[in-house]
Amino acid sequence: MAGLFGGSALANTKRAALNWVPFVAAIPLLWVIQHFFAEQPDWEYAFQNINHIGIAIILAVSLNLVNGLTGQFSIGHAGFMAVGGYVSAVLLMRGPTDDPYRLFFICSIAGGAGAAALAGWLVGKPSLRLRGDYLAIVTLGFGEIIRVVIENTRLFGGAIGLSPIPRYADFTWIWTAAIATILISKRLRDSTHGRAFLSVREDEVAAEAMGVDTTGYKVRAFVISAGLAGVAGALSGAFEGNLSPQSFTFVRSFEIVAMVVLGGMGSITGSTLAAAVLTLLPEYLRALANLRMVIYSVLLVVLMLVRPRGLFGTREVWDLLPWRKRARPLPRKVELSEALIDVRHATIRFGGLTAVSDFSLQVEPRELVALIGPNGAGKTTVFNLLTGVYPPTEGTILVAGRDTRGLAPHDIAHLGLARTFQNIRLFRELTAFDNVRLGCHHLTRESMGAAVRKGQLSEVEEKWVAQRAEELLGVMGLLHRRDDLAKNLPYGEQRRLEIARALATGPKALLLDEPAAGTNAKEKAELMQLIRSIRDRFGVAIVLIEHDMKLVMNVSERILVLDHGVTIAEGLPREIQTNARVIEAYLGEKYAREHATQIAAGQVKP
Amino acid sequence: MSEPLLRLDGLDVHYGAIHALRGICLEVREGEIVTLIGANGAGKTTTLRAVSGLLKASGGTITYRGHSVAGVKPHKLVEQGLSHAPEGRGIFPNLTVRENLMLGAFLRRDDAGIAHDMERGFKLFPILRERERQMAGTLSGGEQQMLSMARALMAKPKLLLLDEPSLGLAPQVTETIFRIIEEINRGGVTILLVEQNAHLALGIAHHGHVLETGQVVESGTGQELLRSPEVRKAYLGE
Repeated sequence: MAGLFGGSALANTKRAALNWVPFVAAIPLLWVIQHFFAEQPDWEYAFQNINHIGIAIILAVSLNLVNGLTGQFSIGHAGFMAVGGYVSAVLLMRGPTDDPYRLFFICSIAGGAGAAALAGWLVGKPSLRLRGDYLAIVTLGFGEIIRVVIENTRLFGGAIGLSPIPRYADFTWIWTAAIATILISKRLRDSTHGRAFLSVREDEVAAEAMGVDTTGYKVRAFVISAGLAGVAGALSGAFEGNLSPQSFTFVRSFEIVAMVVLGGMGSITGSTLAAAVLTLLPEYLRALANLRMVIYSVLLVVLMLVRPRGLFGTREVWDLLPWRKRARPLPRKVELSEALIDVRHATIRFGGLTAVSDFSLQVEPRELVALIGPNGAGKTTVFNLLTGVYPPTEGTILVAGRDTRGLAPHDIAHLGLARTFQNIRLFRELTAFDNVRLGCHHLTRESMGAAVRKGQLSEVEEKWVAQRAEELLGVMGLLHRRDDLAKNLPYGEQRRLEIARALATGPKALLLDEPAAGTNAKEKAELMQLIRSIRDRFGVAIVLIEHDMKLVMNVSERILVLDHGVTIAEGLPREIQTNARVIEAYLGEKYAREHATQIAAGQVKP
Repeated sequence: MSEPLLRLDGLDVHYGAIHALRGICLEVREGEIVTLIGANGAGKTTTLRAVSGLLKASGGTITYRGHSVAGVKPHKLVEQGLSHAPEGRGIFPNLTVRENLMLGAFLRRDDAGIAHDMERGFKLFPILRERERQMAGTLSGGEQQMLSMARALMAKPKLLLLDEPSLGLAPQVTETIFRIIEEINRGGVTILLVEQNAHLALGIAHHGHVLETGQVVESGTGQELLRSPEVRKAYLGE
């Protein structure tokens, strides 16, 4: 994980520090509240609840990073809380008895957080390569193992628990940590890293194609989340004065999951509010004695039925404000590029089926090549080979002079290959603007630490990313759709948005899989213009899969024809149109007849 | 004249603040092929989704076989013979081709009829027979499109809603598909067709409607629309 929190230049420190001023200023305020209220006997019960809420917020908001933003399903959060709590408690109980400036307390919290983060890494690294449900099982197991280990370790007090732990954590400490957690979470979310988390949740294949290291980001989310849970554990121990393994059963984990789900997957404010609601609910139902948990459960079910996507859905409180930035188009040249795709004798077999055999293709910079052929000929498979979704069974593929064997799709995206998908793989729950901004992800340099500190680099980069995204939306005629969710765009605009997103990665070559599908004749004519202008303006090479022959014959400089995985022809459009084998396998006699005169007259320009 | 099989009267649909359909009125009579053409975002797919109950109308009525479909669940409509082959296919990628087809016949209990229709599907799309035991997710895009259509037919529909059946198909296959649509129609299935290839769609349609920004702006028989100068200019690329 080296470099995870690597800072940017020192020059940014002052600016970054300024960004934390409001937060630092809030701490004395918390202290004042504590001094005048929390220490009064009348307020004791209320503040006990308020502090429980603070701890619950840290837990819910941190779990939201994994379950909400990154779309993974962890149900072992209490386990990480326990690790943090126990490590910190053991340190505190063995530390100096006198700690007037609470320096050792801070160290113990950091120790707990570090231990929890390490546990998160150990659990996450192997299991996050897997998808979906596996993680849930692994984290469930982890939570239980931790509890059993604690119960049987004398150092940790066994089943009876640890006490007395110095009760250093009070209102000020807990709420400072809670606010910091919210702030860290929000800043991560608003940065390019936050968008990378979201892309993993929305569509991993598309995220890889954008250059997002999906496993890497899952692990990062998991480690940060576990570390923050460790902070919550440390504070909880130092607040209650004791720790017992019974507080860290999987029921606790599920409570935290319930907070995230109730708040709305991915919504930070939602998690915060739900943490408060679900902490207070059982307290105020205490009068009902035995019925308490029944009513708590029923209320939870009712809340989920009324608001099936959680209190806030995927949105935040501030999204509900009528505040929207307007688009400011800004011209900017995207850098030109040099030499490109070189496929030599690539073959791929799936089981007994040879999908593509002995395929060779060289694409020069700024070239427009089309790949055509009957359905099932292997055209999309060629794209999947080029972008590293499948490794070739035989043969070599070079992108920008580099052998792509063993490279992940996101690495190949970094080499300058961008693509669109035949079946459209936009991040459906994100806006058009965010989809394109995600495309810029791998061009950004800010570290996660910098994003949290909100240093100058990250601000400059954010501005640059926003400008670039708006420019590309403008080029694709989608500026009016900037703030619409991708899923609400009509089909043809979704295709254009995919092209904008692919261009945002700053590619040297753009692979377009059926860009004209779902567009009418007039829109196709516009698309032809667009494809040419993209090539001229961005200096990219374009490889095109398309069934619309008018478009193919008009824009491409060279055509390859695949049939049953075999290249049956290659040449200029005019040559392809008159090739008997291509007519038989793909174009059909009717096409040949209809275009015979045109072809003879040379009207269809290559 | 008898009651039409499907009638839309002043249909309104909103997506949040976006007013997607503004008072659509049209009729589909039994035995007809009716096509909707229009630019992207005009509301064609939205209309189909409202008819099959996937979207809630915010105003107006949809009458199918004499009854309002308001509040009727999509699967109930399928029971009543209304089948939808959605845009973007919606096949089950981790089930085999055969299982996908069987799910199309989910509500039917006549084994012989199911077997017969499965056979018909394979006859219409021979490539599907070759792929019968393959996971649908491993099919190429065009093959998935064929599967989606074959599956819709397995429900033995009275009214078939087809959303862009030619999407992603090779030119030759596109022509085959349109031949098949006519064949299905001759077999007694009424068809409401959304298609970008206006030329082919109007060529086989009894009636057509042109949609612009959620409104019907022009209606007529397929041939009339093919001759209409506005349609030729806007949608046939002339």
